[in-house]
Amino acid sequence: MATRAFLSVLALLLAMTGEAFSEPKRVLLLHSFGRDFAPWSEYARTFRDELNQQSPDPIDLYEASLATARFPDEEEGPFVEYLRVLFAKRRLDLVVAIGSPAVGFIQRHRQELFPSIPAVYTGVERRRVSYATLTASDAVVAINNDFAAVVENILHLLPETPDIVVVIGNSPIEKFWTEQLRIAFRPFEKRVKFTWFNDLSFEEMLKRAATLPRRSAIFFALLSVDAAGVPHEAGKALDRLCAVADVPVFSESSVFFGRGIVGGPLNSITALSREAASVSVRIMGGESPGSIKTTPIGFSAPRYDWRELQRWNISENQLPVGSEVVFRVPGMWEQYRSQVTVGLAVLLLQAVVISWLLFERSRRRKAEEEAGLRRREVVRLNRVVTANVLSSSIAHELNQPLGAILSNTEAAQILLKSNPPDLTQIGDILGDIVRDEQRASEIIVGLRNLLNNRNETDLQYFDLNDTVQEVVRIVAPEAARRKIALTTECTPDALPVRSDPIHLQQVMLNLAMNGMDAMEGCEAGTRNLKIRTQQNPESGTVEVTVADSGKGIPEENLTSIFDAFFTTKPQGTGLGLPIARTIIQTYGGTIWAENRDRSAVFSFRLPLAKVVAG
Amino acid sequence: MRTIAVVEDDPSMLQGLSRLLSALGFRVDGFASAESFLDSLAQCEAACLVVDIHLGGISGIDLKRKLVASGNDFPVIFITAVDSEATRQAAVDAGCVAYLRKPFLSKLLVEAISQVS
Repeated sequence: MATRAFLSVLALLLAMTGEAFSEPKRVLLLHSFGRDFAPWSEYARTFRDELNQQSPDPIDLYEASLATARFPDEEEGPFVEYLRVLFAKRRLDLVVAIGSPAVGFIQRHRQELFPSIPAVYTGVERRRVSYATLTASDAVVAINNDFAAVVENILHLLPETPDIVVVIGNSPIEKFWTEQLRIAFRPFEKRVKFTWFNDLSFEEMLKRAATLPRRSAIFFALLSVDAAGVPHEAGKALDRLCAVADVPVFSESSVFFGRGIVGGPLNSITALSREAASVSVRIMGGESPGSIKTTPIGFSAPRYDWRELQRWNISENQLPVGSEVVFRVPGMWEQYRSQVTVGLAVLLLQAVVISWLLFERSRRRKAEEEAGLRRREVVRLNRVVTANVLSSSIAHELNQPLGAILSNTEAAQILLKSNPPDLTQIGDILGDIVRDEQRASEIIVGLRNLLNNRNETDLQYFDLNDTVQEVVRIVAPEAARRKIALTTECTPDALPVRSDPIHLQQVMLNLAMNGMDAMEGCEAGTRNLKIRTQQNPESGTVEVTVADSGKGIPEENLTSIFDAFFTTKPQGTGLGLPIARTIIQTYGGTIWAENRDRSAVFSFRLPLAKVVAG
Repeated sequence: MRTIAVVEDDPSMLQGLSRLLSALGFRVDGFASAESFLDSLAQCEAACLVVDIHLGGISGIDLKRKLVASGNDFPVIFITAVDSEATRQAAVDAGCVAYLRKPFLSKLLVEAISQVS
């Protein structure tokens, strides 16, 4: 532990010693207008960064601003004196001038200020450097602005632009550039009109810019000092211009890229600063400045501000090949791709699940409906079959009173014609007719439900004893025909149940008909069919039993008789008991068969309905 | 005045028929079953029998057969409340003047009776 700490301290000391051996390099950075004047401020900032990064020695940086550049006829003397005093006792290793005013100043005064100190001129356009007067101590890292390319870019993106407004100030350097621009733009004058703002105050420029025709474009060249003599920081000026102008603004300076200009071919401060720093490091390393020749750095590949393209409705397809589009505001999709993907996937999955469930539900409902329909249809058919079996008894029961009525009526008609008519007898006849008519209609009422071709279930509260009576009415003639003694033993208690009465009537009819069929071969006089009802208050159920006096059911068939198509009767459908079981189970009951005293007993049990006292 | 015997187990029907035939000028002997008719067969003067086929005990058709078997050839008019081809065929085979399905108009009955004389 102690050893490690000691080694760390030693390493630290060695590092500090190494540092102490290398003297810092004194560098003067001379600004043209001021530390914060764009675009030079950006050149200076990136140069500082690059220099600190590239230099093997520490840099002792002095900065001064040639404030005089803002004004055309300012006396440079005092500033020269200031620098001379400042650096009289501090030997500089390098002077770096940024921007052409600073470059010009150093060139003019280096003999009196820094006769042998190497200088690097940068942040300057090649045309602003007087290459002829360069000394062996001077190196130039310039840019090369191709203004024709700027106009070509504007016309390429906005082919219908009738008017390009050139925003530029009126300081000496700006006047120089105004001339350069006029020369560069001359070939385009047939295609587009150039409007020059160089002789306007900035306020006037803003006013004019705000009311430009819709399809105009602005070329923001430079604004340091306007025609009214007011100095401006070009970056802020551009911001204000973009705020008021309702037309696209262009500039060749990458410094302004992202501050409201559309973009296009731009000069590259990064490339320029890197080169300038590299040259500075070489000079401080001992190389002769005069021997370092660099090519002016031209425009980099076109770059465009996506937001501006959107604003001015410029399609990306219109951009030159190799263009880069930056500041793309990511859409919802770009920004939250994974979240959106997951969200969409979840939504989709949900939709699929929901659709599937809905589909399943509708399928099930359809199947249930179909099953219900089939069941009702089978039940109805079973009723029709029962009715068919009973039809001869029914016909007999109805035709008997009808025959009597007809005979009585005709007898009365004849009696009425005699003189005097036997009114007493006619009265008797009419009384009998009324009685027979009632008898017939009772039968019809009892049979109506049996023959009802109804498909809907009709849930009702009713007394099961009533159903027993109805069934007895229906099967009694058939029982009589077959010489079967039909008896009932109904509990005096009410037997409220909730179901479709027709369904329970159906069950009892099936059981009664089965019982009667079971006694087919039995001797007359021993045929008994007994229907019994009882209430079971403990279990809250009602129980109905139908007992015959036949030969009973073989034990092995006691449960299978409720299966579909099980039949021992030649003309049976085998559906009677399955239907009975389906119906009873539908209403929450049970049905079973057993043998008692060698005879068959069918029973079913249903829950007792709680009738609301009303 | 001719006598018509009526064998019918439905009291209403029997009474209705008896009234009708009486009103038509016949004398009527009514029986509620084939058995009771057979009991009084010896005294029977009926020119014609009106017999219900579906009687409680001996059926109408069996009655006709018994009569035929015992040499009594009363003309028989069958009446029935249950019409089926099998019943009709059985009635015709047993031998009958007419086969009437209840309810029937008196005209048909009168026509059948008039065939007998």
